[in-house]
Amino acid sequence: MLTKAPAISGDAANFEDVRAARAPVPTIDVRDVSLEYGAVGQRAAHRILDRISLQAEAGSFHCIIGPSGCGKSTLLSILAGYVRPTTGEAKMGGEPITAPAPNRVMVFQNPTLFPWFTVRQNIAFGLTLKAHKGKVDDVQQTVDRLQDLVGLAGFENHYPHELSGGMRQRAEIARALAVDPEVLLMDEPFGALDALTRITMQQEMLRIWEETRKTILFVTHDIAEAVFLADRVVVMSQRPATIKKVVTIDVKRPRRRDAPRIAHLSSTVADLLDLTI
Amino acid sequence: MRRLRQLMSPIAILLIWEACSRWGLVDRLLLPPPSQIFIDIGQLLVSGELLQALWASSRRILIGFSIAVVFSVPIGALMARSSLIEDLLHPLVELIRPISPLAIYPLALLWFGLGDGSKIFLIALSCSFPIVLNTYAGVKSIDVALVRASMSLGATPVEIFRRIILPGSLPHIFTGVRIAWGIALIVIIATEMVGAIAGIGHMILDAQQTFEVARVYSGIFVIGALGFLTDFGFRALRRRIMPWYKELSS
Repeated sequence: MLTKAPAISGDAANFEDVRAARAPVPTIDVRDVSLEYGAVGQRAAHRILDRISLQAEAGSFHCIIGPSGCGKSTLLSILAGYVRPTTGEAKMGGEPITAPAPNRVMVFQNPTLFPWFTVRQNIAFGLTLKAHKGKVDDVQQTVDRLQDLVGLAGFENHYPHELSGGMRQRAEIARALAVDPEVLLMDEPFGALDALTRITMQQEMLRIWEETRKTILFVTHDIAEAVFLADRVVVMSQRPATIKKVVTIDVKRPRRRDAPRIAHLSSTVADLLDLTI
Repeated sequence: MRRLRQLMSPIAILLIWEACSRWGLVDRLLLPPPSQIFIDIGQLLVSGELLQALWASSRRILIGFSIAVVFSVPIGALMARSSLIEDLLHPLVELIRPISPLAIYPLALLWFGLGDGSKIFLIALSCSFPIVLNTYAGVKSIDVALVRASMSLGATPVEIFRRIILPGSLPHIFTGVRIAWGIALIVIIATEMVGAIAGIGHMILDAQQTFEVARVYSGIFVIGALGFLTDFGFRALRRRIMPWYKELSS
């Protein structure tokens, strides 16, 4: 999949060409999305996002990186359906995104596990909702499988406050996977973890992704994380955010963090962010 | 060990009191020794007077308190979820809340008579405020991220209310209910001192007027024990229905 033609285009002009060249509809398709805050009539509306275009095909892993406060989380909120763009359109599977839907699930930086449910009840939460009733034959079995997948076996009866940060993030990911979404929208999911746990979780994330083949859009402000994880790194600018460049990480997995190519791509991304490493 | 240490100060006070009273350091008539008070409580138990008084008071508390819970929780929740209802009710609540319920009692006597009605009304009214305000605060305090996460997983508004908002505000609601219970124990005694023919408050006032001082203390001890035991019950109940409570309190 890494050798395919670029799936993301920040360039509206050849958008149609790219689209025509590939038959299947991209899973995530963002076209010219701008977002402004501020009521009508107000003199200076706040422009958060400025004509963002981005496509992600099924099963791809994209990391979105940019200066803090640039609007990358806002972009994810639009994809989740919490926020509507001022202009432009965000589509999933060809359908406009208008509201939250369980085929694209958010995973947040601070785990949003429900404190009143055990790990097991949290993971099963989605499947017990009306929207997913009868989706799986055996909820318990599905939960067991997910607990194993994210490495939480043996913790099923713990409450969230009894877990470490990494464990909570694992449970959060399992809860999202339970409803079998096509897309995982991850908003700095490892941002609150300590450095060692973060590295472990990055490896775990790749393993889970390789097993489930979800389409992942992963917001981060960590260059090393982005380059280690992603097929493509989407580099965003300061506010109002535009897409500066999409960097394809043409390194086969499993990747070594100290590989020269990784180092080179990391400095490419850093340069785009006007940083030196 | 901790338990034993915690019992030390009450026991010490009772012993010193007993000694002072017996050796005539204080007026025995005004401060009878605790042993005499406990004997009096025993007699009240045997004669059935205590249970009768307790039942009369508890019944009024339970009815008034239940009315307050049933109405206040939904009102508090609605206030937190709808800005219209919030704007309509919040000023009203803040205006009425500082008025001592006892100031309203003479009116309650006019409206509901000398019987149970006036007492129940006053308890329901004074219990309402802490429950409304704590429920309101509880629902307001729910992390938007939890609601968003549940929406993302496909929860409907009803499911969000039932499975996120209700359990999420339960610790606050519970606190409000506990405070209300404490207020109910205070208010009941005061109301029973006017126009009641039964109840702990009535028993205390009656004893004072016939100068059975030990009995006055008996009533006070019983109220203390009742408050202590019921709060203990509340805490046990909290552990049972909210085993996850620790996280929200820390």
